[in-house]
Amino acid sequence: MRIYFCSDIHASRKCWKKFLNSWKFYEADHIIVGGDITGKFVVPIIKTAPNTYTATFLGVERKIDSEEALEVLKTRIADAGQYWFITDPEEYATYEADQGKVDKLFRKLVVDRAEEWMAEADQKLKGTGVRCFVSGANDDFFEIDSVIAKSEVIEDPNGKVIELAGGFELLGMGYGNPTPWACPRDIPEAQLAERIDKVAANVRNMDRAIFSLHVPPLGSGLDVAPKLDDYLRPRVGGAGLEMIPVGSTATRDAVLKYRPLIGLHGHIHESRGIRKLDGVTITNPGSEYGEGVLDGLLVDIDPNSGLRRVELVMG
Amino acid sequence: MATQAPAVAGVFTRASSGLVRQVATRDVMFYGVQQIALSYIVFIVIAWGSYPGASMPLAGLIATTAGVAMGICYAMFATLYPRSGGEYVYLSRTLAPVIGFMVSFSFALWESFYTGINGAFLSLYSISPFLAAMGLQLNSQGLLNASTWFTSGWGIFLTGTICIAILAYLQYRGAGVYFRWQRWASYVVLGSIVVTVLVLFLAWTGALSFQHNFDALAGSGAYNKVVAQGVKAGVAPAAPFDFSQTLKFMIWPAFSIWFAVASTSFSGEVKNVQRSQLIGITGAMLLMGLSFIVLTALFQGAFGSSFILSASAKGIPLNAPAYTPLFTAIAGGNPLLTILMSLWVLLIAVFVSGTTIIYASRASLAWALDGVAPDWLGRVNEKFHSPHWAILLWSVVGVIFLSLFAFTTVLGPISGFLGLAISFIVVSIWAIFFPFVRREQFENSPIAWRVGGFPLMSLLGIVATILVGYGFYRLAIDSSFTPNLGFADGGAAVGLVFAFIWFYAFKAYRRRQGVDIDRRYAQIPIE
Repeated sequence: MRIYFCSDIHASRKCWKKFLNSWKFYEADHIIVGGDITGKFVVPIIKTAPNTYTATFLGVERKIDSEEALEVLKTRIADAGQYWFITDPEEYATYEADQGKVDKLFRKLVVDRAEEWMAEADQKLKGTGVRCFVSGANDDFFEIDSVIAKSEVIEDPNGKVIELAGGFELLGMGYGNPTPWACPRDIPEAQLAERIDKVAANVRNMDRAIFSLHVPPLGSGLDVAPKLDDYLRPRVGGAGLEMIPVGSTATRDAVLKYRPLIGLHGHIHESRGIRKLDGVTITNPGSEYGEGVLDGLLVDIDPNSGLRRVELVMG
Repeated sequence: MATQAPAVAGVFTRASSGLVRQVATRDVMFYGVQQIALSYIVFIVIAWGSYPGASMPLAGLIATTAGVAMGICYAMFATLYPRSGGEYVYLSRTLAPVIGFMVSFSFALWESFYTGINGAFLSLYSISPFLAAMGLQLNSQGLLNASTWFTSGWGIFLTGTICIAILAYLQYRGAGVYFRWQRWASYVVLGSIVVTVLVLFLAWTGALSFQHNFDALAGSGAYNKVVAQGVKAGVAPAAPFDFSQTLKFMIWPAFSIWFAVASTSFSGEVKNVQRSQLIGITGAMLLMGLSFIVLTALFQGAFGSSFILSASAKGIPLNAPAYTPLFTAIAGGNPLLTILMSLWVLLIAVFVSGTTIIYASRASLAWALDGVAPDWLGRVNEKFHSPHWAILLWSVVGVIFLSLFAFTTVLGPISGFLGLAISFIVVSIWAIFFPFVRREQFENSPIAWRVGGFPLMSLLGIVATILVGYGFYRLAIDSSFTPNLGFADGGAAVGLVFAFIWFYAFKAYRRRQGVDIDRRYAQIPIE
């Protein structure tokens, strides 16, 4: 059995399309996105005259003078994991003055893209035999859960245990410990531990359990991120940038307590790697979704001998 | 859910994690300052006599211009691939994996060669002249003897080894620790250069008299005797200005200034790679290019062109080599000033070895992550987040080169610059074509800048290719720059061939392990 695992693709159209083709490319029979599938930026494309638009994308001001060029820009924005919307100078000004309106716009664009993605997955994966798992994680609005649920081919392991071939089981947990940004699925460590315990109680054989817990274990080496100040800026001390472990104690305790076959994590884009936590293999494929690069992991499992090989890949 | 709008002009963002990266624009620039190794202006001034009519300041200006054009191309590529590993990462992904590896391997190999050679030069051309100057000014035979010891085999080996060991330890303690030391050293370097410029300016205006101070140390009329010897030998006075000789001479400052681009090797460790690399690389080149221009102009004004040419060719009647740090010290005429003016020469000579270790260790880290080098080279220390095995390996390789230099004559005639310059020319040429060959990637990037509708990257690539290409050509044929051309050119070729074999050998080895290396470079198709 070969599993392809990636995480934190954050609305990148390009990464999603690559993910849907990853099973063929890597000859995998199970493909998993470990959460954080929604984006963080909206790029307003402001129509200033007929067939004339302006937008700031990746810090570069883009001037568009044809419908064809507009389509190209839309694709590029989507590829980079951002959302576009067409507006005019007057309407744009109303967004700038109204936080609630921006919030509502985000939710609509996030759901729209998730719906597009599910439809694309149904079309591409139906009848292929590959099993596809996608779940929301701490950055994702709860609205996307119902969008994923409508898919005919995608299974959402969030908060449940799903049986795989050969007696293996996949446990999913998209909730995370608190972050400075107070994301939709950030919850206190005690609550996170409780949720994991509740789901883990349904696992029949921990030796064959694959834990897809979005946040990596605290202090595992897969959770190192810059320490932030009160304004969410990286803190720089006398020895340079201050890096700290920001993983979860609940995740760590769960891995140590249940000792699953492997832990699949994400969340910290910069902490790509494969480590051992008290003998248990834990992983984080990292994320470079902004560049359209799909960082992932290949996990080869032998039905008899268990974990055979874990390899970081970059697509 | 809280939202904020707009955080970037014209863009809405929402509260979500992972919006931070690391920091260090000034450290990138200081890395470039150290990598440029202005201390070796010592050789450049000595070599000036081999290019009659060349203007040192103008050569510095041309080299800086070419360097900035090329440096921006490097920074743009680093923006596209903000990862550690330098040109290996972006050439392997956008041009061809084997080319990326060969270019990177060649650069890393010759950088480690210079880890050792720079360790030797610290002793030979920085500490020894400093002690000689102090010995002369304080009339101390002990200091003069110490100066001589630092030119001996054991003096060179022990000094270089201690220097490399300390730098390797600082890097093992993490990039933050190393860059903090480099930062403070760089502040001292810049202050010391300012003092040097002031003293030379005073000597040029006549407020301080180099000739008087020189005669006081070497005997009455010694200055004029040195010049007379040069005139007799036909090396002085300086020939009239000759632009073609200036262009030929350009490779001397160029192959210092251009090395600031090596900072792209640690792009994965800095915040805002676009800004850091753009400002860091060009800032270092402009700062050190300007320093070179000002210092060479002041050397000529303060010491006299005829004296420099004569002393470089025929030596001086003092128990010390005819190097510019010594002349500067004599112009200052004060031991305290000598110490202050020697600091930049000494500190750069120390930290330049650190820059070479950083490049080689980060390149090999990237190779290992892709599976084309042993896995242990890619291991990162959990406590200090440094690639400790890679640092150790390249430090040991550097010490091996150092010992060969110190105790044998094998490395004497070799120049490693051609092996390094391969990267400069490949990246410059690829910058011309990249926006067209990889159109989608270019357009969908934060560096899709255009001038008159033409990609800025291509324009800079053209400028860089012309100037760097000329430098590359001169490097391959200039026997004044490289005494044993055949050996040096052959060495560069052997490095490339070895890298080619290494790449395909590792590919085969990984295939036997069930790993398809091509998958590491290939993009999953999206349709």
